[in-house]
Order: sequence, then C-alpha cells, then structure tokens
Amino acid sequence: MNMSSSGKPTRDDLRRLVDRLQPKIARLFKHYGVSTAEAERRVAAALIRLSYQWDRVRDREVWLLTELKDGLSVSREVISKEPRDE
Amino acid sequence: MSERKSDPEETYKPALDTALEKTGERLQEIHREIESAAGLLEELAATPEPERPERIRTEVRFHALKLCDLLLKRSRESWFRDPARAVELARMATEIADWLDAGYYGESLVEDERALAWAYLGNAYRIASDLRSAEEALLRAEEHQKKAGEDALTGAQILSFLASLRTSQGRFDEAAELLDQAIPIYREARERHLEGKAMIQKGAVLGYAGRYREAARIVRRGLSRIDLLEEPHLLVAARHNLIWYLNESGRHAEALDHLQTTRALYLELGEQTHLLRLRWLEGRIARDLGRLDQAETALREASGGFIARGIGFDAAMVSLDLATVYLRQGKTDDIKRLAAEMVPVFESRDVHQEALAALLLFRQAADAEEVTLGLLERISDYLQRARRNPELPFHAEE
Repeated sequence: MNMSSSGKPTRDDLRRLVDRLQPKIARLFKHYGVSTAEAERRVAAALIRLSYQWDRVRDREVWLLTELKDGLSVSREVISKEPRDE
Repeated sequence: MSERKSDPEETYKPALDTALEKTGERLQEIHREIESAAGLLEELAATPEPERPERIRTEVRFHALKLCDLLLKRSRESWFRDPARAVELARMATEIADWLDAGYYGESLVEDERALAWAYLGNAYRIASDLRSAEEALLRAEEHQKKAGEDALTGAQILSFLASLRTSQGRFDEAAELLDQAIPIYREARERHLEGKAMIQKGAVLGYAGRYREAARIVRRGLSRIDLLEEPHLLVAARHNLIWYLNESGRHAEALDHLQTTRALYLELGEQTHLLRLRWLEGRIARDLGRLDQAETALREASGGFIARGIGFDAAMVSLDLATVYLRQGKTDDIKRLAAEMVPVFESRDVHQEALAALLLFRQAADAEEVTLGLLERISDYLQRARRNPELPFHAEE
C-alpha cells in the first residue's frame, strides 16, 4: 500500500510501515535463523536506504520486504559457496 | 538458538524498535540534506563549468546524495526542452556520485546512485543524439548497478533507457526484448505506473517496427495501468500513439472515434505541439478515409505550425503526408510548389545533411513530375528513423 507521497519520510511514516510489516519481517528472520542483533542491523540499514529513496519508491511495503529478503538470500548464497575445512 | 522457539514477533520486536530509533536519528540529517540540495545546486550552476570539478572535489558539502538526486530530477525535466543542459546536469551528478562517502551512506546505496547518474547521463546523451556516448554511459551504469547488488528498480530503469537507445539505433527487436525484461520487474515490485509506462514504451518500439496491431494492443494495456495524475502528458502521448497505430492498422473509423474522445484531453493540456500533432493525426485519418479536402486543410495547418516553431523533422513529415494528398488529388503543381518550399525551410532548421538529401530527392522527383506514393513513403520512413539516429545514411536507390 502506498503511503505519504512526500519526499521526506517522518518517524511516524517509518513506524507505521514497520508496524504493518512486523509479522512478515519477524517470520522472514525466523525462517533464516537471524539473530536479533543482525535483525536490528539489517532493518536499520534498509530503513535508511528507503529514507533516501523515499520519493522514488511507490510501494514501500513491497520494497522493504524485498530488500530484506534479497539481502538474506544473497548472504546465504555466499555462506553456502564458501569453502569448508574438512 | 532460544529465539527460534518463541513467538517471532515477540522475539524481534525490540530489534525493530531499536532499528527505528537509529533510523529516526538519521532522519534529521536526511531532511537537512534534502533542504540544502537546491541551494547547493544553484551554487554549482553559478560556477563556471571549468571550475566545477575542482569545487566538487574539494568542497565536501557537495558530496551529498540528495544533491545528486536533485540534479537527476532537473536533468530529466530538461530532456526534451534543452538536451544539452540535460547532459550537463547529469554529468555533474556523475561527478558528485564519484565523491559520495560509502562509509556514511553505505556501499550499496552509493553504487546505486552512481548507476542511476550514469544511466541518466546515457539517456541525456541519446536525446542529444550522441549515441556513442550514450552507449558508453549506460555500460558504466550497468557496472555500478552490479556493484550495488543489482537493485531491481535501478536495473529496470537502465533496461528502459537501453531500450530507448536501441530504438534510436533502429534495433527494435532488441529494444522490445529489453522492455520484456523490465516490465515483469516493475510488476513484481507493484510499480503499476512504471509497468504501464514500460508497456507504452514497448508499444512505441513495435510501432516504429511497423507492428501496429501489436503496438495498439500493448499501449491499451499500458494505458490501463498508468497514474493519470502523475504524468498527464504521458496519457496524451500514449492515446495519440494508440490512435496512430489503429489508423495504420486500417481501423480508420475506430481511430477517428478515439480521436474524438481524446480531443478534450489535448485541449485541456493545451500545449501547442500537442495540438499540432492532433491536427496532423486528423489530417492522416481524413486522408485514409478518403476525405481529401479535409485532410489537405488539416495537414497544411499542422505543417505551417511545425515550421513556425522550428520543429523541422515533424514539419517535413507532415509535408510529405500533404504531398500524398496532393498526389491523390492529381495536384501536380501543388506538389512542385510544396517541394520547392520545403528545401530552403529545412536547410535552416534542425534537419541534418542526410535528411536534407532525402528532401532534395523529393524536390527533384516533383520537378520531373515523377513523385509516387512509394517514394513518399520511403522518404517519410527514412526521416522517421533518421530523426533518432542522425548517423543513418540515406540511400537514393532502394
């Protein structure tokens, strides 16, 4: 769902966005076994990035979920490709 | 990990709250950056061009992502009004993007901004008819987009610009394929307006390739997706193209119906060039419906209007359409007069040498009373393609 079309996000805009997505984000982190510290880092980085691109992104809910999902799947790919000590 | 056993929402809520708190602290800096961008841009614009790179390099306050964004926005606004200015603004954006601090913004955001700046520069070069520089700039954009982690929306934007370049190069199949990649990206991101816009762009590509039925179909689908309030000019342009394709597909009466319902929109937006294009379209439809007197009046008005505004290519193409009407009416003297009037007018307009050679051929044929519909169509088709690619040679013989 689209929210305020203003180029400047407010704390309330971000709070509403995260509140709406909280169950999905939590399930996503649980699925990937993400620690709370890593979850905090990833969400903060994604929200800062979204804040800079606020006027460019229309569907911010989809954007935020995709950003978090893509980040997690990329890091999982990297881990699975890393050589293991036998 | 004990976190996995409990309710995930409860587990991660404190982490999300802290993330929001941290972002909130950063928001003030982002707001400051947005507010200062316009002033910084004015300062840069007032700096003589040779001194700009040094100022950008040495003055850290210019190393701002929102300034770069604003330059790209202004470049976009200048695309068709002042292509040279659009290039200049986008070039400044690439210079600033080079100096953005990855430690502060994050590597991915900085690389993404660089990708966009190069993509905009590429598109500005294309519009300014520098296709070689456009190709190089878009290649740089792709490199930065890869380094950024391949942001999907930035990727789709690059694909769309690249499709425009391929269209200018007359490589229509490649352009359509690139748009076929961009459209699902927008769909997945639920960017309905951009999805519709890319569909309308694909319609234009198919139209240039002469695939009018397919073009009309995809433009209709695109029209149902775009946000009318966001880009009213896109709506007029898309409806104009749809009517054009319907007429070219032989559905002249349907084209006329659509034109009647769109007329109010042309008038409402009130741009003179839109009204001239409307008159041109009316002339073509009337001609194809066999209403030659009506066609003649409309095409003469449109041609005169384009000449008065110095829009050489459109004026030349309308004049060629007018010649087809004269030919059907058997007005040989009018064809000769039209051809004689055209060449000197276009010598002083935005028509390049190769295109002028095509018009000279028309004049020679008119003088010799050897103008045929085939010749007019061939010259018109060449002008259509050469407008987007000034390097395209004209061959007098088929």
